[in-house]
Amino acid sequence: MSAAPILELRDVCAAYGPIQALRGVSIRVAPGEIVALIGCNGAGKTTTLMTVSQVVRATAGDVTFDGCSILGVPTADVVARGLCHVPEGRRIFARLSVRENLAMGAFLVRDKALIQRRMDDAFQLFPILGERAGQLGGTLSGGEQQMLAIARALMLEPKMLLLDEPSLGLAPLIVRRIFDVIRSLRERGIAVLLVEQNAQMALRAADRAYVLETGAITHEGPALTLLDDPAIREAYLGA
Amino acid sequence: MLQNLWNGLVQGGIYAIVALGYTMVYGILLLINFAHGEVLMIGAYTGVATLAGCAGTGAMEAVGFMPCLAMAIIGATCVSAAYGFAIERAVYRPLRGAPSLSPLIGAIGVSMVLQNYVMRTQGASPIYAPMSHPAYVASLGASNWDIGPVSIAPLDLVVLVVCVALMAGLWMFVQRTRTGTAMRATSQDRVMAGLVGIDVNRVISVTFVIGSALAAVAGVLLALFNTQAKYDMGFTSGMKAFTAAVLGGIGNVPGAMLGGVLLGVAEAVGIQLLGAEYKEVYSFVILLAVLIVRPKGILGERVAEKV
Amino acid sequence: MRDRIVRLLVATLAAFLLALPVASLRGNSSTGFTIVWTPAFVTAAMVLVGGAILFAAVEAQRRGTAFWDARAATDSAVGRRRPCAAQAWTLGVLVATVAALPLLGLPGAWTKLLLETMVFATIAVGLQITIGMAGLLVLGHAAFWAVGAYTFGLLTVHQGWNFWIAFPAAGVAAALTGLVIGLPALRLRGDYLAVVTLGFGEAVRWVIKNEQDVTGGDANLPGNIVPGSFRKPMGALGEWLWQPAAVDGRTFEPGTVQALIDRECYWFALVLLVVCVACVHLLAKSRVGRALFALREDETAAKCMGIDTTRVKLVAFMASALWAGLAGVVPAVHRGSINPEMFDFNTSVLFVAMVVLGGLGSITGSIVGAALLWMLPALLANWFPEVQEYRYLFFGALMAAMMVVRPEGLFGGARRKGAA
Ligand SMILES: Nc1ncnc2c1ncn2[C@@H]1O[C@H](COP(=O)(O)OP(=O)(O)OP(=O)(O)O)[C@@H](O)[C@H]1O
Ligand SMILES: [Mg+2]
Repeated sequence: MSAAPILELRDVCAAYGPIQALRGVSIRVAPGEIVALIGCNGAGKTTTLMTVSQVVRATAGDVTFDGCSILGVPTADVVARGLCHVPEGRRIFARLSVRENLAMGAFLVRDKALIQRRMDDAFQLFPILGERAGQLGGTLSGGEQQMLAIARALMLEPKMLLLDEPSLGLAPLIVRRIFDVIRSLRERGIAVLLVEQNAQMALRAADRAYVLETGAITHEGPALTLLDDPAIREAYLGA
Repeated sequence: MLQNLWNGLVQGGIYAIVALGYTMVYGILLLINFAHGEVLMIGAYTGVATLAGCAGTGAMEAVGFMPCLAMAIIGATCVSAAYGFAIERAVYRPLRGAPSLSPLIGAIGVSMVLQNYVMRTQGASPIYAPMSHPAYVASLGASNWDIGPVSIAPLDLVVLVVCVALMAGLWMFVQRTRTGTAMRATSQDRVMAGLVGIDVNRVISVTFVIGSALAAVAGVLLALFNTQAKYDMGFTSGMKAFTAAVLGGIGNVPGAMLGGVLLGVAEAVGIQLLGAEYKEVYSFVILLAVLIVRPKGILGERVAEKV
Repeated sequence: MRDRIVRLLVATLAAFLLALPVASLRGNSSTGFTIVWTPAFVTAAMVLVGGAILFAAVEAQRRGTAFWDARAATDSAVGRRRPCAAQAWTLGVLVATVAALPLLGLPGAWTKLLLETMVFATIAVGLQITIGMAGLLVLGHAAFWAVGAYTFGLLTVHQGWNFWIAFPAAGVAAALTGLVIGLPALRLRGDYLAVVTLGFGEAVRWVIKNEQDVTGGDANLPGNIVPGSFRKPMGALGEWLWQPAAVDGRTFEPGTVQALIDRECYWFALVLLVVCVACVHLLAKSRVGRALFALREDETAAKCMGIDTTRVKLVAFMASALWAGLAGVVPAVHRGSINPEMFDFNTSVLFVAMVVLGGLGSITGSIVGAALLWMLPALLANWFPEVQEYRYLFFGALMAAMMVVRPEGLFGGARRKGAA
């Protein structure tokens, strides 16, 4: 673990009304590192990512990105600093075309030529999107939408990506494809905080991992160590 | 009959640009902006006051009617846009994310305040546009053109041209510009829009400003049409414009345009067939009929959204 | 604190600037432009004062909440339950006192004012079912009041029906109207109901205005029939209740007849209110009531739990309309005449304001809301006659401010905060 993490959560708490969703979560992600966050349904994984991108306000603790606290910074500005969030459930703009969806991902980029270049990159990464460029986002299949969601986030060339269940509801072949892309992000120097139900896949792709249970971190360590931990195996890997 | 249809068409053009304001705000906030009609009324007052003032100071004689009308429209647009912006900031923004009843009640409150405010400060009787001023008579008061059985007043043409220009302009803005695309994205998924770096608050403010500006233009045109501005004019025209928005499919920009024109024509037909007594009621009957037959409106929900 | 002062000053300045073109600038086709400064300054001053009061209220509320929370916490810690029987007793004594007031020499003006308040309270408590319990905004409730009043008026005056048949008929007519309006509107998102009922309210008013042969139009029903004739065909019970009406109104000295009618209508209105409160209270505790609350919190979830949301909403909507219809009988009898302007949009908003001020879901709140919004302006008008003219402006501001500052109203229970 390097000395200067790109993202750091320190004792973050969050609540929905009376429901305490996070109770002091601390997570560090180094630049270019892939970190997995696993846990049961309702453990608070999505909430953790939401408090990072400031969609949900943390009630206590601190979130720093790239050395500065981003607590209370508007979501749009967090994104502008190079932190992109691919939320749970894809959330494609259904009535925008694939091309427009990608362009929205680069909303903060004003250079048209640059946008075009990145869009070509995206089509290279996911050729199917190139074929569907003119189609409305809402008419894509689930897997195509997931690809579009990731491609859309990459349009900004972020320093870090938050991925919430990228394999949700996808066929094994496509899941593998998506995880290949996630691994390739490491080469591009993009840090990733990956939330996954598919713990096996996530732990194999990640450098390090955290386990979240009812709003608190219970385990952390190198991904492969956790993969061998009997307690984790039993609870999350079904083995 | 044809004459009535023509009148309905012109009236419908005005409804359409008011309906755009409802539909844009609804598209993004899922909120019926009850104060929209009042913003229109404020625009109408500002416009008529400007026109009357121009007539009174002699400016209208000097430069003619059309420049004064342009000034009135610009003034009304600025004032209404400021009101729209302020209403969103003061009432709707603090209520964003609250259970949907709260913003709705807040909106009713704002509408009541504005209506009564204007009634108290400007009086309960209408103020009149200087329609008998020689400059008006010289430009728009000229005799009507007769095309077959239809007699077309110059004012009708002005109204139609302005409405069509505004609709085309808005269409271009929403489809082609960066802010316009951001607006569409925000209306589809507000949280996601924030996550791609769109400043959602700014987009919402822009939406209110544009909607209010359109309402102001509609207000001035409506005031010219009726030769007067009255404190309760926003209430009735607001109701009709909302019907138009629902008719076309609420949240849908082309739908609002289509709905406005259709409603204007339908009202004209209703008056022709059933008499003018119930003029104010037809739009309500149409609203009910749409809700029974096709609640999504004519152009609503073309793409099924996947969850 | 400093932040708040800055915000208040910004709001004041904004109000001033916004008021200038609308309230201060006058254009006149003979004299040109004039600027009247007073309205702009008054507006700014009102915003300043109102805003300061609002901030103070927020602060007080913050402290108050802390107090109640602490009290509830100690209560539950020591296992104390605040007694329910005491409440019932207080309620009984209160009703008895109110009932006894006219006998204790309550002045006529007060009797009338209290009577009107009780009618409004009945309507507001009924409206609580749709707005407070089901979370559906109704903006044309005055129309149901009108349907009740006119049904009663037409049945008694034109058809000569017995009071005790026409009275429930008024309620039933209103409820059926609710069914007709509710069926299409209630299938959709709640805010459509707001607009549909708004339009409906206006439509009803226009029908009453235009169908002059039947309703008397803008002139009062019963038109040129003698005032008081509503009170004639009442049957034995009705005659007992409204004795003066059994005799031809014209032979009495008008003053004394009115005093008698006031007093009897007062009791009638009180009984109606008490029955209404009891029914709504029972409804809230019933299965339907719980379904309604579930609906308010989350419609989709309610649907998933197997609640037939449209039917439940329809029941709520019709029950609300029923009480408004029944309440419509009182002004018809009391005033002896009704006209369409009593039932305009402002009245509908007034009802909503009563419910909102009192608190969504709170019966006590609706009654207090009705009392505050109806009696306060009337009383203040004794000293400042212009109060009555500004009251709708004030109601509107109150509704908006209430939503921003304390959406649960004066008596509303603590609602879930934060979550959408
Ligand atoms: N908008 C909300 N309102 C109220 N409670 C919420 C809301 N969103 C989440 N919660 C609650 O917060 C807790 C954490 O939810 P979260 O979505 O973060 O879980 P998760 O770990 O992402 O689960 P999953 O694996 O099922 O996606 C849950 O108990 C959930 O019920
Ligand atoms: Mg999740």
